[in-house]
Amino acid sequence: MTLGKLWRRNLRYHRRSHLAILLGTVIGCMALTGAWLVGDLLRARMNALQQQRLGFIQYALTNSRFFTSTLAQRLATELDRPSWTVVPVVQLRGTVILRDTDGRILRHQNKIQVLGVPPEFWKLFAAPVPDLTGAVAVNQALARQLQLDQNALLEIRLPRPSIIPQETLAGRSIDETGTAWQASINIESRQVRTLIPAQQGGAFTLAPQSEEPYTVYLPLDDLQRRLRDALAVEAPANVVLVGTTEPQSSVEVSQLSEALHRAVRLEDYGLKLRIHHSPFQYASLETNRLLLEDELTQVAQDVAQELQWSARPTLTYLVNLIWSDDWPVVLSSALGTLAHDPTPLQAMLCWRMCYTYVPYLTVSVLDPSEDAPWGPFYSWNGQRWTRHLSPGEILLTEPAADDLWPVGSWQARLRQEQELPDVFVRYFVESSGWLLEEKTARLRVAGVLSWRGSAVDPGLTPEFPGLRGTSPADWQPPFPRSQWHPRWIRGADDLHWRRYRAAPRAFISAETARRLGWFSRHGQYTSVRLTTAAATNLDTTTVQAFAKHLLSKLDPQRQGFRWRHLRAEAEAAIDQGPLRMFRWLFLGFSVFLVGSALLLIVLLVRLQLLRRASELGVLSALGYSRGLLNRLIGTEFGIVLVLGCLAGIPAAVIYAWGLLLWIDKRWPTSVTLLSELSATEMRQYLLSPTLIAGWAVSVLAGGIALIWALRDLRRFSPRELLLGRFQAEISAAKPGHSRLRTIAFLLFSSILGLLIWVSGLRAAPQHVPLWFFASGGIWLVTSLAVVAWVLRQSKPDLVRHPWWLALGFRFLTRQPRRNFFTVTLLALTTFMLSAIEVFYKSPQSQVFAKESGTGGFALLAESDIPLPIVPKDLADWQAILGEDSAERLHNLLDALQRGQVHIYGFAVRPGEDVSCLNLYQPQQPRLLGVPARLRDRGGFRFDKVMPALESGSVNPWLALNATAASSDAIPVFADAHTAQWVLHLALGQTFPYAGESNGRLKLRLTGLLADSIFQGSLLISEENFRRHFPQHSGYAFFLIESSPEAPLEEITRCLESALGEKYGFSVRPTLEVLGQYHRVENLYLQTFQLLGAFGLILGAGGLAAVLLRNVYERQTELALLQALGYTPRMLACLVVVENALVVLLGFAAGLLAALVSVAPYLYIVGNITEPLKRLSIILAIVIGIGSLSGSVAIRHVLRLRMLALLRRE
Amino acid sequence: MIPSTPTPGLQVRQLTKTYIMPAGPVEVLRGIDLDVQPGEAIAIMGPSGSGKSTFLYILGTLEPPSSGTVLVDGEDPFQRPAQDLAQFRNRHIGFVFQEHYLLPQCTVWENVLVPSLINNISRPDAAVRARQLLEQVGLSHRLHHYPAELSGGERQRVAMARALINKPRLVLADEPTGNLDRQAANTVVSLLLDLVRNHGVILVLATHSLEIARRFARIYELFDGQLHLRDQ
Repeated sequence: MTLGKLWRRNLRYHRRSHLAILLGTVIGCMALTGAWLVGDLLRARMNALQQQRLGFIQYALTNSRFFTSTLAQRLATELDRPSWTVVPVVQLRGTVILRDTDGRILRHQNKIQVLGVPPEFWKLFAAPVPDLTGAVAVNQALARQLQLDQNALLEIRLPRPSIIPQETLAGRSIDETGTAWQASINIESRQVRTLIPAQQGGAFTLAPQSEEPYTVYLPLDDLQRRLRDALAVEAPANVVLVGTTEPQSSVEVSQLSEALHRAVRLEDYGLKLRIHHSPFQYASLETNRLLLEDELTQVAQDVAQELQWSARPTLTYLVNLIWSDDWPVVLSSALGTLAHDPTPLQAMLCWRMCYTYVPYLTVSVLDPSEDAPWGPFYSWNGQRWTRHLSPGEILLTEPAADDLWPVGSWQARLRQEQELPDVFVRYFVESSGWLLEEKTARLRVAGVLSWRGSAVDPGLTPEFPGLRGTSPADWQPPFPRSQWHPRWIRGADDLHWRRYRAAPRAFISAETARRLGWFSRHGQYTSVRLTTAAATNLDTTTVQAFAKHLLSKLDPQRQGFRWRHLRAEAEAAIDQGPLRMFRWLFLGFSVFLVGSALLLIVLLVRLQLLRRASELGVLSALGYSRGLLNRLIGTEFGIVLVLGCLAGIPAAVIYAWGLLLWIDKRWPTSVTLLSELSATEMRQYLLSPTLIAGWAVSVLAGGIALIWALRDLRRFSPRELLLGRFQAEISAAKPGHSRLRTIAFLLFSSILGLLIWVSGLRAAPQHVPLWFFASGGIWLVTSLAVVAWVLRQSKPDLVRHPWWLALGFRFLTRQPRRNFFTVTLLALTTFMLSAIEVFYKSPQSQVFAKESGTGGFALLAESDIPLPIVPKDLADWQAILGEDSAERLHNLLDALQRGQVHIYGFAVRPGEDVSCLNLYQPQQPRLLGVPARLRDRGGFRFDKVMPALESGSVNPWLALNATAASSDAIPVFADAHTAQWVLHLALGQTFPYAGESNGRLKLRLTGLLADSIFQGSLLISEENFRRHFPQHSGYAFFLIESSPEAPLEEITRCLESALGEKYGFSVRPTLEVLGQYHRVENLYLQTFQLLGAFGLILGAGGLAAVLLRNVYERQTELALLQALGYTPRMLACLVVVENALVVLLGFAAGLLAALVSVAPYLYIVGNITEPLKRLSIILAIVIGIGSLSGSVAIRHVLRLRMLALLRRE
Repeated sequence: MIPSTPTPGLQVRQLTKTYIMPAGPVEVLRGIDLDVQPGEAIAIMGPSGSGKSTFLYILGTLEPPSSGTVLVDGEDPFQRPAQDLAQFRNRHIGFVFQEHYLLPQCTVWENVLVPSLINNISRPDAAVRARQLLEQVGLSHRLHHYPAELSGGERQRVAMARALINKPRLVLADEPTGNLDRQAANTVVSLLLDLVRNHGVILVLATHSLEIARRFARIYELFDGQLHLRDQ
């Protein structure tokens, strides 16, 4: 016999008791390690999804503008890394349509990613190259969505991109219907030849997203052919992907940037240098965007200066019409020559023959007084023109003057030194609306230039989109049909065009151009004319040298090129996204569960030690010292703990796995977290350091619990241990002393709790959970302190109070420590369940309530191709739909009228979803421009607004009205959930936002919407939107207001039928959108509540064990009471009272702490009926299960054998 | 030559014990004096609650006295540091309780050996001694049986053997026959007396049975917190 054998015997003999401790340890280890592992698993899975999404791609070069795809090849050459693949790609968004054999739409899907890819693209995924000649491929997600099989025929519709800013008059494009809006590109029915699996490029997107993308793949050259005309770029691309299959090979962003700087050409910036030989040799730097940015103009001039060239920035504008002031006089004289009563035809002929106007001519801004090489200019009479043009003056050329006045008449006037009549100039200006804004200006005629020399210069006009053909009548200018008048074109115009093309026929000064509003914010000049000092020897080589010099001065980044490290972005999106917050919250709530498990371990160990007290007592009597006893017992229980923790590890894996599977099944969108876990991933998880760390920490925590429990034994003398009479268990504290200490502690903890609570109200949004846990913990400790005090108080008087209450309370306070542990277990569980329950989002039932999350709107719609206007009447609808859908239009208008439908349109700047549906941290949130109409209407519920607007009489939406100057912060609204959990912003905080062309804007969070359908976007006023994001015209997001009786399904069907095919328009009920957000938010809460449920099981188990132990210890007393006449039922009633008191105390302590912690939130919510209703149900469950725990003890009491027990005594 | 008075193996002087209770202090022992020679066996009688067990526990260093001294072979164990008391108890004191307190998970032989596991006695020697003691108490044929398989008297005999395994100077028996029938009780007491005589230890036995007490050379009565020698 050895000591070792003794404790092995002990271990085996008491194995049943150890089993309970083992189970408690397993649960504690499982909860702690599992909480860590959930975060690890989620992170690992999201990393795996990103790996799948990107394949071997490491970097992407992007630009909001298109560039030539040959840049990719040049980049590869400059990079000089044979193992790296550089691939140009076109990435666009569009709609796909599946039709039946009769051409009717079967199904369609918007928000499709359309990729034009070369064969090398598939190398980046180690995938076989599909044959896409004359066909397309789709990814499996799209195939599933549309129920496609191979050989299905798909139609693809894309918004026609424009390289020219759309608000400028050249930035429009006309489609076949002549609507001249952001026309679409149609790719007719193509066979779906291949389905691309996710791991072979089917999951590819540039930015991480939670949902599977829907993607169509076309051959790059095919798509490029479609885009060439629209973009005026040969072989366009807008993305270059860079990657390698060799994991050890790496490239830094700096190396890529340097390679790009060397590889880039002028055409990649949309620039070209045209050489002109007439009227003299010069080159003109032009852009396919029509207007040169001011910075580019300046750089060109600087380079010219360095090379000692001469440079002249030039603006040439297309004017709709010039006419003279005195045309009625001339007309009437002309009419007089023909007839007294002319027919309309005669009048028109006369009009045309009168030549009193010039249609569609170009006017340039220059200084006619300049010397060579930019001049000289000569007046009609051969004299050198020597003066500058004054503001408000226009200098005509002979052809223009001949058109405006009868031949000879103007010369006569000038010879007599008379001024020529003023002329009127009609022209379009920048506008974002459906129709172009036209203006008229009156200008003084400074003179007439001779049509020779410098005055005749077609090179002054850059290549204008759509201006081609043999006659101006053949042009396809970017004007809406209603604003293009080809019948104005005369024979003289045809002649001029054929001979001189778009050579300007009039000139004005820069100041005049500015006053006319010809200078755009996108640039003031259409070209920079360049020539050498001698204005000769301007050959290709010389020009190329200039180009090289210019390129060296241009920074690709400032021209919109951006290198993105996609892998690093993906990691950051995962680490900074909702996962981080979820991980910490889950860990925080798990701490409560782990605490419960540890408490249970302490409780069970103590119970067991007390049960074995006499054994310990006799060992002590036999000379075993305290230290030796501690070591003996400690080893025995320690082994149980270690084994329990070991068993807890696989339990933790199963727990974490099960939890993620549970989340996966309930996530409202198609995100897949766990379903395809590979064997490699599985092995990684099982060998994860987290498991080892979790086991170690669990053992440590269990060890501390064990030490605490053993420490307690020191309070008992060997005699007490022998006799099993634990006098020290019964409180011997002096009541006065205890009360003083309790009051002091309560005061301290209450003040601390209040301080933390108040601090939490001002905490940064991302720190709110931390404050919640701290506050909750302190209030829990405070309420438990009250419980501890209650358990040590004098009992109810046996005479004055009912026997069951007085005796039951004595039962309760007999073992204050033990019962305190049990109360604490239940308090922790109640706290967890209560605190979480109040945050649940109830489904909104009143969709038409204006002050609600839906704002009173029943439907929400989005379109892939923005609508040019928000249609209000028949004319608007006709303008949008064209005239070939009368019946459809009729049905639509009928439905809209019956439903009293009003549509509110929002401008959209595409970006990432910032709602709870996105598992990744968004870098560039989607932005909506809120129309003035909606701001005036008001509606929705606000969580908080800036202090100035808190008065109830002011419509909070008006806060968006502030127009921000370029340096000020733009007011923005966000959903409160988005601000707190996704963007981590507080009200009033300013944050950066990427503007157009690499600019940075400042946004200030001015209002927080409560539980709204806008959770996925940020909101600014439409005016600020148009000002700062002119590239994004039209309206692509809509809220549809209707009467409560409106036939919503019919309205949805009509709208989608009318707009779905052309604009990729889709409609959803707002309640469905809100419901999706609620499901995710509630899913997180349910996950946390699962922890509460585990805690409840632990609490119930602990309570049952304690009650049973209490009964066992007192069974002789209970037998005695029976002998005195108490029936078994009465004794059972005492146990019930004790049970009920423990449950009620735990319940009250936990509930109080929870309510105080969440009070600020309840205050904000206002209506607390729903949360309290749900809370009542949860708490009824807690009380019920707690009460059931006592049933075992009650059954034991009912079966006590009185005599046998008394005889033993 | 004047014969010297042999030093008592057990000397108690002015021993008191007071418990502090919520309702006030309770003086259980009030100035007890006692001398017992080695090899001597005394019985202490008294009604329940008179303090017999308390007195025995103090003698056995399971509890400290409130005041007074206890000398075992001239040594006051309470002068030792607290951590040495256990060692003192292990080596010099044996206990026999009313409840035998055998370890249910150990065999008879193992139960006897338990005190020796932490002593300096060599294991083989202890094993031999255990067998001998069990033989003396008539349980040599039950060495590998568990306590649950023994009768009450047999368990008490095992407890007696256990009390003597470390050759203590003092054996304290607290109502060792309280749970036994008359015959078993007599057997146990006889064995106890024999063992004590054979091993030369001091035996202090607490009992409420006069019949058992009469088998002892000296009988003390404990009442009002004081020890009174009973006239045989």
